[in-house]
Amino acid sequence: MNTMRIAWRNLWRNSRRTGITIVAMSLSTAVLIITYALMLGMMVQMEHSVTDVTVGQVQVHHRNYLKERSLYDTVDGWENILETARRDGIAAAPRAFGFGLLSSGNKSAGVQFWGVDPASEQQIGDMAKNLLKGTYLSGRPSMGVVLGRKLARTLHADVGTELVAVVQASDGSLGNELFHVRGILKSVGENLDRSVAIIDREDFASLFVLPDQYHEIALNSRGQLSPDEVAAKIRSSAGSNEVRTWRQILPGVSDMLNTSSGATMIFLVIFFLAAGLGVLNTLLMATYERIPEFGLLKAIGTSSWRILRDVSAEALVLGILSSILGGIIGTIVSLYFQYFPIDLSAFGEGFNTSGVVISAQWGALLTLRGIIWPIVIMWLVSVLAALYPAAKAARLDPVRALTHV
Amino acid sequence: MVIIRLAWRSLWRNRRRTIITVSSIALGITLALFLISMAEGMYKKLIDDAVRMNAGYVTVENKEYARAPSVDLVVPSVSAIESLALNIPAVKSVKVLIVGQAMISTGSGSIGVGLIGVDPALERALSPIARTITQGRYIQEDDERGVMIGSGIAERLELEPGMKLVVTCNDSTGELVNEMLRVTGIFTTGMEEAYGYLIQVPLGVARRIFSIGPDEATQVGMVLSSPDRQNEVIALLKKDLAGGNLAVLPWQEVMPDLAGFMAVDKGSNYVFQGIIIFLLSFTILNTILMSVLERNREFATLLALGTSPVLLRCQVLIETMFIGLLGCGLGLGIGGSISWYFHTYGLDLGSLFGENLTITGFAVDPVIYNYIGVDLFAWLGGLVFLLTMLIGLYPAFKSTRFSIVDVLRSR
Repeated sequence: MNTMRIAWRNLWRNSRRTGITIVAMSLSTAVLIITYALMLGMMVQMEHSVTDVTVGQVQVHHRNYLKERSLYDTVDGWENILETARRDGIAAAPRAFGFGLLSSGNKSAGVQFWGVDPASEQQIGDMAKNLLKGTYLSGRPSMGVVLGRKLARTLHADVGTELVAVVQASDGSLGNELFHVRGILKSVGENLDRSVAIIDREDFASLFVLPDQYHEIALNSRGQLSPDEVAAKIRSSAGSNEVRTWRQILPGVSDMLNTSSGATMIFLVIFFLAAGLGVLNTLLMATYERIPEFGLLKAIGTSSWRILRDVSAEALVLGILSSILGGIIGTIVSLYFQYFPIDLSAFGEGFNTSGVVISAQWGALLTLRGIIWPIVIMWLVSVLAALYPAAKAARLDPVRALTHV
Repeated sequence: MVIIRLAWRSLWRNRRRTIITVSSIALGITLALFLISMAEGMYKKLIDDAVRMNAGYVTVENKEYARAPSVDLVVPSVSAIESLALNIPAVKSVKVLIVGQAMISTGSGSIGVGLIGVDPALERALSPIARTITQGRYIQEDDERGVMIGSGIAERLELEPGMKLVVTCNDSTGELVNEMLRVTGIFTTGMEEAYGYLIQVPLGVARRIFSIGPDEATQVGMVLSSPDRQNEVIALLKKDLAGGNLAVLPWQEVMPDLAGFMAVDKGSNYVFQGIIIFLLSFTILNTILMSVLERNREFATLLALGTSPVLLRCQVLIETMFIGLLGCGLGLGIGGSISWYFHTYGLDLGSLFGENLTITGFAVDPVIYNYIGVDLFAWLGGLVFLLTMLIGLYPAFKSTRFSIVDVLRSR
């Protein structure tokens, strides 16, 4: 206890030096916490932009579906999977897919029809919010269709346009129905933009004569669980179906995100280095300036160990003070950016590439780890920077130390 | 003069203090330089890949094309423009392109694609598509029916090299035409827009399919030796092509999506640059402040001996200037060499993180090459030096503001 009191007094004997050091350490800690939160926010936002539109974190298909894309390879026992997901609090959306032709006047295009349940789609993703024009499906079978942006342009279709759908139904007959455009999506990825027509699942069932069958179940815990955790939970009830995370379904996008997180990690390392070295230099300087003082202590009989102990105690107190201060500042600023994202729209509009929607709003994400790491690193640096010169002084001959400049 | 020598000497009288301060600045600059050049390198690469794959940094096309892309809106005299452009020193090569929409079908289905007619020899040297072939080989000029397809298309239509596909499209007269082609190779790039929706054929084949004349094309694109000279090239071409119905466009107008993405991502990068420069200047402030304030006793002695306060302040400022110059020089030297190393050899993220970035066969390039330019050195070095001098002003004025007696008595 005595050591701590001496350390405390020593620190305030030269309050200016202590002040500079504390400001340096706490500001560096705060900057690191903020940077970490901003970078994490960016990475998580990018992943969410993939999973939270239509893809979901995990998808379940019949084991042959992704290879063959056959109308008949539907998910076995989809009710069980939906039930498991509901029990675990994971949003799940069943979808049926079929290929066909959509035409309006003399324009026509080959499209992939998505038969969806609008209510569950809105739980797993934000597609309904990404509308350019019109409204999303109402939730009742009404022969409405939502089109991708480029598909609408190809068909010269606008909200209200009547479209004729011609498909080959599952019983071999020719399905033929009249739809009208309810809404047009914003750019949400090349495939959706160009070739997808979204209709209600009951409309789909009657068009393709495929009642109560689905080709895909998309699952999303909306940030509660990681994709692998979701996959693990679902696998138990999936039977012979194939359960895949979005990274397995979209390896190209996953690689792209990995590359970009890799670059972000390097940025982070650079920031830690810059902050760590900055604090190291400040502390080295502060301790070196005190070598004559240590010489005096030695000259009046203080043992080397005691000097080291005192210096470490001072470093510890400095560390505690600065991590509290820096932690508080860092947390407050990070939380601010978490709730009031940085607006980059001055530089340009949001944009999507390969289905990754880059938003112009950049929010931070504060985690416990993001607070602890910067603090631990600052502590390590401060102890190191204080002990090295102190050890040197402790070994020095008192006379030399006293005249040391 | 004496004061400069005095400052230089007093800098080395306490060598350790000087080294710590100089190294703070140098390390800060090194890290900032590395960070900025890495980010710049990533942008340059992304843009470079995109413009090489598409229509160059500067594109010449029909004025009407941008509003309603159609193969009948052609550039009439391609070879004239080509020779005109090649006379401009900044233009490295000229890409002649025919870009149209088409539908391709096989027994497994059909999808809409962007069909691009290219000069295979030139494209092989320029485009990332030719670098990222996963199966088969790249098209050649004499491939009468050869076509390159993206891996996404190959997967959905179950195509392999040697297999046939049918292209259906409207030609320049509006006629619906069919043409059978044979897959020569399959490519895969990081962008879904490319691997899922692009096919490439030799220029001759594209002219045949779309019924376009031998000296006509929809785009003439210029690949430049340095992207910085884009505006200069646009101005020259605009002057030469004035009066015709041709438009000279920068890539930002040809690919607004990419330009938008770059702008947003650059915005976030400016935030990081700002943070690191803040950290850097803060470290400089601390070390300089501390090193001057610790010398109160020395200054008090000098003042007591009759040194004029003005001279002393000058000396402290000159010392700071030396420290700033040394730190900036050292930092630019070290940071420059490190960045230059990664500029030349690249930083392989794949091996660094042990993530199997290439295992899926998708050629997202995980190697980052730093970009170093003279302007970066100049503004970073200049900025940090200025910051150092600004920071040095405060302690310089503070250095003579104390009670001499109190300072001399205390220890």
